[in-house]
Amino acid sequence: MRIPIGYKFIIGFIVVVAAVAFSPKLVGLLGYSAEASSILGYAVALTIGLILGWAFSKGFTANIGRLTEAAELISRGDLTRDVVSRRSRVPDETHELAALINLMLQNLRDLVRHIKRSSGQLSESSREINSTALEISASTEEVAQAIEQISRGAETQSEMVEKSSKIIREMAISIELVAARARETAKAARETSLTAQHGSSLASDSLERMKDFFDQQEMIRQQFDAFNIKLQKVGKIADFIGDVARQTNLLALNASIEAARAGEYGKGFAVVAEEVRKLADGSVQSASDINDMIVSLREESHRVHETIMESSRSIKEGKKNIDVTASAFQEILKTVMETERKATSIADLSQMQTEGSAKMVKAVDEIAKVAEDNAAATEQVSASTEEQLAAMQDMALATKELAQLAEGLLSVVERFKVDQFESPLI
Amino acid sequence: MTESEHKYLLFTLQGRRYAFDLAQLAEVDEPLPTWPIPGAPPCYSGAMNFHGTIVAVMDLAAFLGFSSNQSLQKVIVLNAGIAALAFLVERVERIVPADQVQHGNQVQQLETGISYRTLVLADGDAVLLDAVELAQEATERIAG
Repeated sequence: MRIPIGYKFIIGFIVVVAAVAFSPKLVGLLGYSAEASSILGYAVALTIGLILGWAFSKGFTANIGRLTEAAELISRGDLTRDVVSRRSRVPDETHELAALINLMLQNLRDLVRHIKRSSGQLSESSREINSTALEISASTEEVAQAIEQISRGAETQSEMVEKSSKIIREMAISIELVAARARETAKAARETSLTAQHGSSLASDSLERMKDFFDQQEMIRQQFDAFNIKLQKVGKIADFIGDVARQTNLLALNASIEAARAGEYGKGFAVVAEEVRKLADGSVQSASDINDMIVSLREESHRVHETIMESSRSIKEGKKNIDVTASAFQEILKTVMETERKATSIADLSQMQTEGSAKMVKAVDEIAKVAEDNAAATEQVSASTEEQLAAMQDMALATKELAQLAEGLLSVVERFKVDQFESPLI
Repeated sequence: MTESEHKYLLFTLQGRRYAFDLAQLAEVDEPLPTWPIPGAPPCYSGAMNFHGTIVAVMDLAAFLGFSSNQSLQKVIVLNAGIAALAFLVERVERIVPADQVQHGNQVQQLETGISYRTLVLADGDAVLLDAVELAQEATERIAG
């Protein structure tokens, strides 16, 4: 049966008043003097009133004390202990209050526990996020460095491509020069070929003339033989004349001797004989002169023949040389034609090379463009990564702040002791 | 014959010029085949048939005491009135009339004892031999 505390006080008061009221009569029953009874009655009434009043007030206010104590504990943050109200068959508001406080305690405990847990988790999560953000930041920095490198690489590539382009242009010019030289070579080879043909025909002509010369030389040799035979005949005739002249001389001599022996008569005969002898002498002399001339002629003709033979030998050597020259010209002609063919082919090939190099220049220009684009793109990426890095750093800062906030929250909540074995922070 | 009508035959031996009086000579010929004369001195080359007469042929150079190794181209046959003798000589030069020569006055002698006179010509001297003396000497030598 619930009785509000106010009523309890009223009942108590009534009981005290009744006890005070009835105590003198009870004392009077004891049989003491009136005066003593009245004094004693008053004393007993006062004592009973005090005792009952104390007992009642104590009984009524016990729960309030406990509640106060609990509230104090709660205010200090100790949420561990429930309020234990004194058992009573007659509950009052204090009991209800205790139950409510206990409920409140329970709720607070749940809340604190939840907050603690959540803030711990939050702190941990924010730490993790922070460390992740830091890692991401580090990674982003690496990425930024890598991109920087890529950017530098792209720039280098761009430069290289430009150099390559320049080199290829120079190469194209060189190829053009080679083509020009090859054309000149082909032209020179054609001219050389004409010259060699001319030389070859001249050598053939010389060989022809040499053949004529050899024919003529053979004729000269035959004429020389005929001449020598005739000369021999002339020599024989001269010898014969000489013989005749000698015999005539001898005859004339003997005629002179005969004439001398004949004396005066032989005088005219002697003169004739002398004349004959002189003529014979002249004949001998002439024959001898003829022979001398023949000898000298022979020597001369021999010398001429020797000279002709000598020149013939020289000319034969010359013929050999001309043969060699002619074949050399043929060789030159062949080689030069080959050279012309090769030079023309080189010219054609270098023409093709020129076209190829023009294409190459175009391709390299495109590559250069792509490389420049790449460089620009990598710069953009670099800027983006830097932005990302800044964002990450901001995020790290924010998560740090969040962690701090979580820790602050935790430290605030830590004041509340919810479990039996932990002590409150304060 | 007067002195002025004399003629001399000039010939050579060992490169030296000799001469005979033309009157002492019969003929000049090319050397004819000879036949050896037995027992004759070495200067005799042999005997030859001269127009049907046997004539002794003598190497004149050898006879005069020179070595005779030159080619002997002519044979001079002496007048048959002097001796049947012929001399082999190297070369007959010519006949000179007496008015073209001057006689050396002195009679000289060769080493073999044969005497000679010198003929002075416009183109050089000649040794004039006497055919008669030579014939005598030859006869003496054969006899000796």
